Amino acid sequence: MSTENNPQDAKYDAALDLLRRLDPTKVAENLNKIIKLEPSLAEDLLSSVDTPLDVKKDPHSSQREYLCCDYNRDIDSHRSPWSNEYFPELSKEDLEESPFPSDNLRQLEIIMNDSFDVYRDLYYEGGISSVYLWDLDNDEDFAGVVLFKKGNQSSSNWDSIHVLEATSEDGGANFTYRITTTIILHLDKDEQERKMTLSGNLTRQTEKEASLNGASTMEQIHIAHITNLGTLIEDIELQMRNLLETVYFEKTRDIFHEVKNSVVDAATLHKDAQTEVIKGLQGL
Amino acid sequence: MSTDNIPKIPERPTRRKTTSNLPSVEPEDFNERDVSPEKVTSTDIQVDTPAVPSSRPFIRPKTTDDVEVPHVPSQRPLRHSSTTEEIEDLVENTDQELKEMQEILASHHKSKNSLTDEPKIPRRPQRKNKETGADTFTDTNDTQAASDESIKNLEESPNDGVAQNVVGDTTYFSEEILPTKDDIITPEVTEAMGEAFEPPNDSLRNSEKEGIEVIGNQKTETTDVNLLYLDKDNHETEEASHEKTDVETSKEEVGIEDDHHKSKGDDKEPTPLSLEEDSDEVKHGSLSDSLSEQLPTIPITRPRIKKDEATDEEDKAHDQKEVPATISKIDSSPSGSNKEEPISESKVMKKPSVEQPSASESQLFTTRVDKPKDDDNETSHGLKKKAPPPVPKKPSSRIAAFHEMLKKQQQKDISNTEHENLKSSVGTNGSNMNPDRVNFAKNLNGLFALPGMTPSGDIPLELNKGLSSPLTIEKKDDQTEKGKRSLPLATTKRVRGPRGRKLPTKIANTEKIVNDTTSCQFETFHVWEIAFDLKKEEITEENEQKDISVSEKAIQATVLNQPAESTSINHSIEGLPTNKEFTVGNPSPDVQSGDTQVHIENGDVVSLEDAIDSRDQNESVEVLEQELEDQAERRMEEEMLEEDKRKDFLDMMTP
Repeated sequence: MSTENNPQDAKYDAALDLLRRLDPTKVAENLNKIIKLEPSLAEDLLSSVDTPLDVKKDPHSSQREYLCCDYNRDIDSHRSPWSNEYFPELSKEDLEESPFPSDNLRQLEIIMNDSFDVYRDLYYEGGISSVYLWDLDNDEDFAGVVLFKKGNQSSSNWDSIHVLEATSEDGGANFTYRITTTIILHLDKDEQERKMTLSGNLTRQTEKEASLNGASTMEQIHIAHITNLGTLIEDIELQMRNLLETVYFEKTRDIFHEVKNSVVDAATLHKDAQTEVIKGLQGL
Repeated sequence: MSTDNIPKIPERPTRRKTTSNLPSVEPEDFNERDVSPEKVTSTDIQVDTPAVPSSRPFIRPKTTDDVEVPHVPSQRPLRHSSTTEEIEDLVENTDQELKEMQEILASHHKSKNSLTDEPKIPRRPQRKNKETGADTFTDTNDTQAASDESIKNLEESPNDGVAQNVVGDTTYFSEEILPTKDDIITPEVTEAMGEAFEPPNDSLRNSEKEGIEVIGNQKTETTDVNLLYLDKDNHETEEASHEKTDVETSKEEVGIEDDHHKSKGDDKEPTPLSLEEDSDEVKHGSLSDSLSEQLPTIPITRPRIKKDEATDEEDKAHDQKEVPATISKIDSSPSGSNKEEPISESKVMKKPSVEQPSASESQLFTTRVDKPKDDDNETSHGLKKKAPPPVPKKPSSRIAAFHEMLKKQQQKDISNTEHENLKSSVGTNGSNMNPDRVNFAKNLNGLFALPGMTPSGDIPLELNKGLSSPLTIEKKDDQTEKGKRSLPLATTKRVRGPRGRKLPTKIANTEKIVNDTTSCQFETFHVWEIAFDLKKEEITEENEQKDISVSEKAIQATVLNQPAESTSINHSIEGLPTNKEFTVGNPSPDVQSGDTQVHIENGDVVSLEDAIDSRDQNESVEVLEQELEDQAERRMEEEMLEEDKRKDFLDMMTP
């Protein structure tokens, strides 16, 4: 309804619909083209359309790799979770306006990076993880994004993007966590003559209310947040992986089998028709 | 008997202390009494067998030292290594009881001597049992089943004393161990110990010679006797000696049974249960309770029964009535005990007790439990007799099974803490059952049920999630977790990024493209103007196409009936790029009009550039072509009419 009234929203929805139907392997390219057509949608589209994550290295943290998305970007630089600095480095003027998390939130960001790095090591056995947080209007509220990436950059990749929003209720005793998860899966098997590509993205949004279990100190609050978010993200990733396996891949298999069987059925139909014709001729 | 008591008493304690200290220390460290019989495998038995012949001549003074010293250390360390460390606590707890038992043993020192003579006989049969065990497998199985039933009955009996009786066997091991450690053993006690060790050999010998019928009796009775000792803690030295003999015999039995029971699967089954009960009790039971519950006593008695039965069967053929049924075997065993009883003073007492059970099975079980309580002496005698026969077979198989079970339980305990909860739940559920029976059920659960298979077993949530379909996972999550719900994507938008960010340079510099649509209109309008100008018959050289030129030539040829060469228009398409000139000669009268006529008459030459400039404006060619075509058509019609007239005229003229 609102989209019908507001032409800007209509354009925004139309752009999303268009991107949803275009080649998923060229999301970034198509996104830039659409932004050129309608630059006013640039900010919304960049923040709402998930593209494969880029990897950069932090020169101030022993060239440690970190993931780049729109949430840790400013101009053409991306903030590193390890050193909390933008690379490539921005000018002083730009840095003054660049977003940084508050000190308290930065502490939580550091702990979350360490925690999810362990999570990544346990579940992904490799790859890269990064967590970025930023403040919201309410002091106790915060938002962030948890990123996971695994795979070689040339062929197959698994990108997991969890955009989270934690809003407090009852004076900070209870929090509502809303997580929008997007998994971008790109499978590319490039052989000599046969090239097969299977890629797509799956987005789900989950909301959960949880308490901080009486945490009073900042450390306890941070641990409570990490516990709540960690369990929630863990469950979501497990569910979405099962969803991919059981629904999408299984459906793809069914389609393949259907195609193959339909071809066989056509051949049998031809044979049947031929036999009928022969019988008819013999009857004459 | 009298000679043994007088001189031997002081010497033995010292020797035994030394010998017993060595083995006792190790078992205490490892805290395994039950295990000791387990590891007394066939190899251990072989070691014993050579020692036995040599020991007989030296038996009472020397053999005990020689035989006991090597046997005990070698066996016990093995036992400890194999057994779990969990029994350490139990051993420690039993120290006090052991001390009491030692005192009792010292008081009944005399009676032991008589008893030791008896057990010596049965130990020899152990060797024979080892050799002949294979032959008696079938029979032993039956007897084992009967013994198992009896044990079950004992366990089922509501009397707590029964459980304590079971503990008594465990105390045997602890007793041997503790006195050695503490060196508390009085000369009397040491004598008892020496007798306890000696008699088994003698008992084996006697069993070989006389027959093991007594052993068969010992099966049931031994269990009963042990129970009595444990319950009352006031047992005499005779009982202690019996216990010792039982322990030794049990060790030997272990090895024997291992050999025999390898082929038997049935015998192994009951043993693990009892063994598990022991382990479980060790975990849960209090000090006294754990001691009482410790079932290693049960396995020891059972093996005795088996051996006794096996030996009894052989002996029964000689002495008593041979009954095929397992129960009958049990009955026969008491008869065997009767034979041995005459040797000891209390043998006579035992006979009636055994005979009563033979009368009826139910009576047997009941009397078993009751007898130990009523007559301690009788039971002690029965133990002495029983000790040699039960030693060989059953304990070994059960101990081996127990050994395996302990390993399994250790692994389970490490991984599964839920197992204990299950046991507690079982105990609550089986409130109607006796505590022993409850323990038995617990052991069953531990044996046959995997942690995930148990009714109350909890599968990890993550495993459930992984196993269940995503839909079910979502449902479960909804149920289990508060407020966790998936939101429709259409209605929700994700959070915006941090404020203050700037767009990338590429995107920031982009400008929106605006389309201008007015230019097209101007061009179209201009073209129409030119077209109207051409209607004024202003002919310019516009022909760039051959078709047009050719058509013009053809038209002119047809209209003027002149060769095309004579036509005034001569131009070629090839000449367009070059500055080619064309002239118009002999223009048609119709065409000669307006400006074109002027050009032609004047013979002016129009340059190609001018023609090209005006080409877009000149569409007169087409108009001209149409006119020429019209004229040609008219003339053709006129000619046709004229020809028709001529034909008509000729037709009129001709007739």
